[in-house]
Amino acid sequence: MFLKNPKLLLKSNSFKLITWYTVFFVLSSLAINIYAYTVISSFIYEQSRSEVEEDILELEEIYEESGIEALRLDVFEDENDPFFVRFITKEGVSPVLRIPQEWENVNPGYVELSILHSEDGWAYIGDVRDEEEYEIRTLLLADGSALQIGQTMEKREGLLSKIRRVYLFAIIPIVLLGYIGGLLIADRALNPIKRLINTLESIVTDAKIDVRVPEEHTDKLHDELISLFNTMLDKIETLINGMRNVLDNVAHDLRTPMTRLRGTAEVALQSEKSEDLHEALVDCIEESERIQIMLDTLMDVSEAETGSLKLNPEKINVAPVIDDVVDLYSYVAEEKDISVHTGFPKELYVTVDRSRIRQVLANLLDNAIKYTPSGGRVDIEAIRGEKEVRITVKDTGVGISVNELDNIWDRLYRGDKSRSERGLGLGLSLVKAIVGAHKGYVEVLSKPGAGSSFSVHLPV
Amino acid sequence: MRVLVIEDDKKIASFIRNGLKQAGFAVDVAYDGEEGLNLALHEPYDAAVVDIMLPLLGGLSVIEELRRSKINTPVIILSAKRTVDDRVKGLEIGGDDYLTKPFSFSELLARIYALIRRSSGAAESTRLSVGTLSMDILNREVIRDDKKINLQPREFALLEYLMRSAGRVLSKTLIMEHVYDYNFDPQTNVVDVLVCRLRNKIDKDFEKKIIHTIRGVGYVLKES
Repeated sequence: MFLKNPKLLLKSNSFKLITWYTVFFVLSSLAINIYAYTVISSFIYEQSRSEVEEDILELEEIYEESGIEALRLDVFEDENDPFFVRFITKEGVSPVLRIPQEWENVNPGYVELSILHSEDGWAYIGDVRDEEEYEIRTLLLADGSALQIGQTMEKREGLLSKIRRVYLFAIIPIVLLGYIGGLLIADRALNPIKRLINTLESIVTDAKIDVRVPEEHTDKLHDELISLFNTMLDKIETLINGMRNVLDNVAHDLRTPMTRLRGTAEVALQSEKSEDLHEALVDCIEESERIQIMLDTLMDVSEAETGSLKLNPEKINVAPVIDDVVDLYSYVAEEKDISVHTGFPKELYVTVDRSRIRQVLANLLDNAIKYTPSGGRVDIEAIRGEKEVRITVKDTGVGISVNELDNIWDRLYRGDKSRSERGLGLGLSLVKAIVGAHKGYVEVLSKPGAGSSFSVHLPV
Repeated sequence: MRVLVIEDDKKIASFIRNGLKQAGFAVDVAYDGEEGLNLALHEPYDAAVVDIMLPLLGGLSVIEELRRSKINTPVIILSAKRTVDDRVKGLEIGGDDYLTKPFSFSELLARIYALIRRSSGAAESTRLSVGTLSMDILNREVIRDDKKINLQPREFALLEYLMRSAGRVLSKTLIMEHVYDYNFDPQTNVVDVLVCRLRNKIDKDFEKKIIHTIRGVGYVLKES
């Protein structure tokens, strides 16, 4: 699928990421706050109850030790005391009754009922208008009388509502924090992708294939993505350059023979003699054959170099292949009075494309015989190493000078001494390319005047 | 003998037709796959030359359809692609031979002859003779003007091939393929050397030369 605007997509992706992060952050902060609020409110509740509990036990002690008068004295001692206090006798009379100002609106009937409806000695009542809530602790004494202490819940509720308000206001910074956090995370997560997209865009729009994504070494996953991406770009670049080279070379290398072809035909057309025409036609055919072979070989070399050459590798014994090639050239060598010697084990198993390897060996042997003078000698040897099979073609030919050694593998390069020989100068580049496509390598040793030794190393 | 040529390029089609006519064949030409298939299904042909890239119906489909209809006319595939895979595919679906463009006409002709001979099922004779030259294949004996000639195996194979195709030009590629079982064209003089050796034995000591070089095309054995 080809995305028309990857940046837009990225934006929507980063928006999603930020939103999710914010929502998650706010929800989890809320959960923590709600939990904290519950803990605090229950703590306050316990606190206020235990205060009343202490007071009522103290009053009980005073009553039991010093009697009702002492109790009354104690109860009315502090005028600002906010507690409701009542002492009820067995008969239902309340000789001690303290009603603070906040309790003005409390229905006395409710207070009576609270004695009956208390659970664990505690009861809640409302006022006449149902605005405030009060709680009353009732303690039944040993002699059948009872003590009651009540407190308004206003204070407690006020405190809790203050806390609630604090939490409510805290939500705004929490949301803000969540959003900023999301922004940072989205940025961190999507930035490498953004850079990838930028690089891709510059490649697509400017057709720049040499651009690479800078490596950052911040995050393993990102680094791997970037390095994979760069590797992919490398491969594409090799391929594209290879194809460009093919086109350049084909165009360049074909122009010369095409010119000859055209020239021959044109000159022939101006001639009246039929022998000339015949001769020209023959030349044209020969020239076109050269063009064809050159085209095929150039394609082979370029395909092998860029890795697009289709090989049909199979595990074969190359010894008979070498024999075949030697047999192919036996007459050629014989005619030139060159002796061909072989030395290799009967079994040399290696995974290769049979016809391509035959082509490689034929090219090397052809060269060896071509550049060896009459009476010379060519040796083909092969050995099997631990990791490779090495096939060497050694001649006693003219040799290659040091400054030519580096160039012999180049396409269309022909040494000074080989210009007089037939050929296109493509043989060795094809050898190198095919061996390279088999993940092997080629080597050459040479001494001008004494001969050359070409070896092909094929991984087992 | 009748040959069907299915080729959409008018120039190529016409040079194949003219060449085959000169060689004594009756030739029908179709310029697209459908027309070609139609002809091949309804007319009897000794051989067909089918291009792969054709309008309306591809060459491979034409061959597949023919084979499905149990028509076994030998087919030579023409293709601009020269990868091994294409060759293998073409032969797998029922093609009998494969030729890459550009090709030489003499090679096409030689291949057509070979296919027709193969499909006719006629037993190959074990005695060949051209003029005063005769060959006994079973005893591996070659005699010219009552003189026995000793040939080495490859020389013998080449001479047999030339004699069987007497009068027809054989390209170097065909000779490589036939004598050495080699199907690519190395830039070598292997064939020239082989022909030269054969000439030394067959022609050198005789006044009448029978192995001729057709420059740019190949070699032919004939009494001139």
